[in-house]
Parts: sequence; C-alpha cells; structure tokens
Amino acid sequence: MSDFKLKFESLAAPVNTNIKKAIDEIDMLEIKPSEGPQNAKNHNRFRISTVKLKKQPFNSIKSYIAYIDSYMKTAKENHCALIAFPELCSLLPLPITIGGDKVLERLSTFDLPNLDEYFNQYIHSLGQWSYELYINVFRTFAKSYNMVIVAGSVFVMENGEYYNRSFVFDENGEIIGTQDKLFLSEYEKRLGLSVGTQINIIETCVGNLTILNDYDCFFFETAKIAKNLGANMIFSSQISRNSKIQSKCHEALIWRCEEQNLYGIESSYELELINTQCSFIAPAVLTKNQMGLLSSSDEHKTITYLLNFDKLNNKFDPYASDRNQYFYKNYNHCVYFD
Amino acid sequence: MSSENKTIITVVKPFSPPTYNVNLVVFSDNTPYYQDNSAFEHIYKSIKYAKKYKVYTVPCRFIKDDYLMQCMISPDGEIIGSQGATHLNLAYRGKINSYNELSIFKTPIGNFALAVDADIFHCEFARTASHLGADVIIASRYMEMINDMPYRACIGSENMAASNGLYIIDVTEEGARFVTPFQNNCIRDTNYPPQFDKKFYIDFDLLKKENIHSIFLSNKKLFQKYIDVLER
Repeated sequence: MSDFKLKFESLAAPVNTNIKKAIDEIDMLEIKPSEGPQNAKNHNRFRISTVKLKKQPFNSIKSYIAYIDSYMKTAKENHCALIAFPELCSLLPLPITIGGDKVLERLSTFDLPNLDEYFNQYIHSLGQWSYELYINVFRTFAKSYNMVIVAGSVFVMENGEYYNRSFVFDENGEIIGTQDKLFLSEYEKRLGLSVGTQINIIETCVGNLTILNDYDCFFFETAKIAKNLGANMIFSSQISRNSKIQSKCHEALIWRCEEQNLYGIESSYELELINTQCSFIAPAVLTKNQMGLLSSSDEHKTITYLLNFDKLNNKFDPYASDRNQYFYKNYNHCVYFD
Repeated sequence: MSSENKTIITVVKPFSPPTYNVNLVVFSDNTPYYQDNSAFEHIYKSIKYAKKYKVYTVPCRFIKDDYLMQCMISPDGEIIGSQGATHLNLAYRGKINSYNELSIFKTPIGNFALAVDADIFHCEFARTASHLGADVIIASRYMEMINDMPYRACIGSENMAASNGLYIIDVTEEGARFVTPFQNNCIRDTNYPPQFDKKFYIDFDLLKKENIHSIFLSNKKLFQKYIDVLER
C-alpha cells in the first residue's frame, strides 16, 4: 500500500512547503508514544476513541495540527489503541490555503448549482495538496502516538474516476487498508464520484474492521458480507446535512450491529441545526439500556469506550442465529441479478 | 384498492367484528399457533368471517405438514395462498421445518407478503419480498422470549420498512404496530407495546415516492460479486 499513487493533473504551488511544515509541526510536539495495542493486557479488550469534529477557521498549518493533536492526545490519555475520525476530514485544513475557505464553503453548500464544477476546480487546484497533507499528517500522528487511526476519508482520482476513499493507518504509520464509498448520496452523485466495487476487511491489532459510511450502512448486505468475511467492527460516519438521512444512517448502524453481532463506532461533525453524534454501538443485549447504544455524545469532543470482544463472541441471539441457506439460494439470484 | 389509492387495515382478536370500514383484517391472539382440528376449525371460521364482513382476512398461525403457516383469505371466502415461516425461533427448531418459498399475494388492495414469526428479524426475507413486488408485509409473531428484548422487537419491523421502502403491519399477541418507511424511518400509530383495533392506512402514492430501491440498485454489481458470501 506504500506505493499508493494518485494522478492529479496539477499541483498547487505551496504544496510541498506546507506538507513538510506539517510534519515538522508534529515533530515539534515531541509526542511520547502510547503504550500501544501490542502491550494490551487482554488482547480481546481494547479502548477505542471516536470524535465529533467541528469545522474551524484554521489560519495556519500549526493551528490545524494542534487541533488534530488535541484529539490524539485525549485518546492517548485514555489509553486508546485506536482512534476514529469522520469521513472527508481531509477537507478541514482547506482554509489554510489562499482561497481555500471559499472552496470549503462551496463544497459544503450541498444544494449549490454547478457543484460539480466547483469540485473539479478543487480537485485540480488543491486535490493533490489535500491528499498529501491528509496522508502525511495521519501517517505521522499514527506513528508518533503508536496508535491505529481510522482516518476518515479523502477524495482521490484513479483511472480517471473520482472516489471518496477512507484510509486506515496502523500504529507504525503504514496504510493498512482503504475503503471506497459504495453507495453515493445525492451530494456525491452531483460531485461526479464513482462507487467502490469491493468491501474490504482491514485487519488491525485491535480487530478486523470494515468502513461503511452513510448509505453504505443502510443495506443489510454490506454488513452481512463484512461479517462473513471476518469483520467484528463497523466504522461509520455521515457528512449529510439532511437530518433525515443523518438519523436514518445512525439507526441503520444500530440495526447492522444488532443483526450481524458487530460493534459499531460512529464519528461525526458538528453541523448547524442538525443533531449528530459520535457513538459506540453494540447488539442491544450487550448494552445497559437494551437499545444498542454503549456510549454517545452530541458534543464536539472525543469519547472513549473499552470494547470487549469476548462479550461479542460469546453472545447468543435466539432469534438471529437461524439461517435458511435453501431460502437464500432459492431467491438470491433473482434479487441480485435480474 | 379503496378510495384515494389507500387501503385500510386493522388488527383484532380473532373473529371480533371490524370497528371500521376496513379492507383487510389481521387476527392475533395469545396462542403460538393452532394445529390439527383446532387449525381446521380456525381457518373454517376465518373463511366465514371474511365472507360475512366482506374483508380480506389473515387468520392466526397454524401448523400444516410440519410447517408454521399463515394464509390470506379473500372477501369471497377463498384462500388466496399460504406462507410458511422461512426462519424459526429457538422454541421451534428441531420440531418443525423451515419453509423455503416466498409468495406474494397480489390483490386489488395491494401486494402482500406474510412474515411468519421470526421472519421479521431476517433482512433476507423482506429484501426478497420487496424484490418480488410486495408493498406491505404483515409480520405476525408469538415469542415469549422477545419480551426480554423490547428493542429487538421494535427494530425488526423498522429496519425492514426503511431498508426496503415497505409498510409493515407488526402483529404480536399484544396487538399491532404500523411501521412506514417515511420520515425518520417510521411513523408509529401505536407505541410499543402495541395496541389492538387501530386503523392503518396504506398510501400507495406515498410508497411510490420512496427512492430507497434506486439507491440499492445503484451498486447491484457489488452484491453480485459477493453472492456466495450472501448465501451463508
């Protein structure tokens, strides 16, 4: 994965300077690595953090790095092995660049006419910069903190197609997996994005995870495939400004965890007039309130939870464990092919 | 279909007269199922009920040929078809068999599927029913253990409705809930635990506006790639 390359058509002039500066800023923080997932006392129980971010008027690389570091530091103080950020957090530092605040504002105005044109302008002027900054910042933070990072996502171009691609970095800063968005929102369709063609299970020292953002989580098949391929956690986030969709996707994550016996980790953004949350989700019988929520916050902050995979593995559900493979074979072909 | 492209459904204790001017009546009582002579008698009385009140009728569950079944009766007293439980809850496993077919009952008041007992907790059932043309799933269950899992009891039907753009009539021994795919997933005419004898409107014009199918179809190739994984 280290030779992962993207082909954008042009580069913004100050790109390399800013990226080097970002890495220098992280170095200057003199971060002491966490004890790390490798040293966990019990390899079936891990502390995980998830965040709710807020769009900030960053005026320098330093302020952006300090902002991300504040979440990393909290995760470290809470002895976390992994931290999750929401999708497209790669767009957050755009205000650092000249005119970047306007680009971000336009990209955040979901019902803007000619959104695809603005997106093309963004890709061609700042796409490469966003991508390289994103990869280098999260790679360096993962290594410095000795922590796995589910790093949200970034727009990438591959073979002439645009994707909303999520990245996961291991505790050594290596990219250990990616996931392209599988079902596009109206917003993403208007940007001209393409859909991903596979569901990846990303093996980390904490557990096997899959990333199902927005509508990817809405269809039971994606979680069923992920579960059958070995996942035990779903990471999910939404950028939609439609409160109905936000609410639907949050509920869908709860359903997927319930029916497939998975943990769910949700990260989010603070959005005006829309209730969003970062949360930890589990099958209802593993939660105190029997409603599927282990922990949740609608505030702009980090929350941490100790996930116990032994509990997940030992859970028995008298209603979900029956499978009728004859039935599936009878009908799957006509459901998925015709 | 009734006036304004709407169908009216109610759920009552077996053989109670429908309070409203409804098109379809679903029976529910606190019996897990009828069998042998009691099954025959229950279906016979249901046929008479359907003819008397001129309503489509879905009687309670019954056992036939080692399957847990339900059927639908027309206002003329004809059995339109029957459906077996394709998934079994723990209490029945090893005692009766899983049914492997799914029938859609296409009637002038809408296209119906019957989710018998535990089927409401299995997404594969609703996805197939939706694909075969169902507008409404009547999900009837009797599960003592589910009382310890109230959240599970709720989400089965909400999940099915939202993920497939379907109406669900969620029938238990305690009554019924009406779940629609619209607005924050579901509008509930009754809260949990459900109540009897509510009037539920199926609005087919609203159903057509749901776009969940088009999103699902937008990446069908993804599922084709994993078809063997989906059959596990």
